[in-house]
Amino acid sequence: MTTQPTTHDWAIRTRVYEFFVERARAPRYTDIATEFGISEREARAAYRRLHDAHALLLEPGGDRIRILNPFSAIPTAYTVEVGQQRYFANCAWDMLGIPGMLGTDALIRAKLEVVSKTVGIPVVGGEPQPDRDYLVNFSVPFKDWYADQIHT
Amino acid sequence: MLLFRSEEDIETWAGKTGNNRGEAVPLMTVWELGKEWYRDRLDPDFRGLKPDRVRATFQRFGLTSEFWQVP
Repeated sequence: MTTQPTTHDWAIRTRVYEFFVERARAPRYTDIATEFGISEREARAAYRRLHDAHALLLEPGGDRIRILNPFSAIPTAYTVEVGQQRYFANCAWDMLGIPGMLGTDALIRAKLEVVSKTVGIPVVGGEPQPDRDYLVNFSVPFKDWYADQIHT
Repeated sequence: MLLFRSEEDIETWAGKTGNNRGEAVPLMTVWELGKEWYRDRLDPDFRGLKPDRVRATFQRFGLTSEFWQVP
């Protein structure tokens, strides 16, 4: 049975995002238990409820955060450098979503399909400065995005 | 969502991988779409994207085909 996140769960969600922005990695539920002064069991259950509400995505069958849109908790072909931090994005949309969300300049590095090379896209003065008119291809219709977020 | 140089490259990729062709959107449109999509993600009051907002966002950026329909 799916249970909706509680107000406390949403506060945990906010903290998870702050943690990720600060450290470029996802907190374990044990980190959250410590920070919030709750049991590990409670923190784990909160993660599960947030997962069920699509507020984050846990590893299949696990307790670790895999996706915290637009961030990826595992290495990908899309990186976003902001100051000394380097974030991984889930895809070519999210690599733009990270500096957009943070409202910051950045250096994006992304895999270019077909030619299999990495291209740099600086974000300067609040705007991307690509060296050509790239396209982002969406291969899955919106109605199916949440059916398999890892491959969408 | 993957990055390409051109429509031709997308066709090549779809042919080689067997993936759906889908819809290609210019990078600068995706930039604006992403800013709108994630604008309040760090807000403590964020409670998820509601269907009406998703519909309005797609509409604003001209993403109106069946592909972008929100259930």
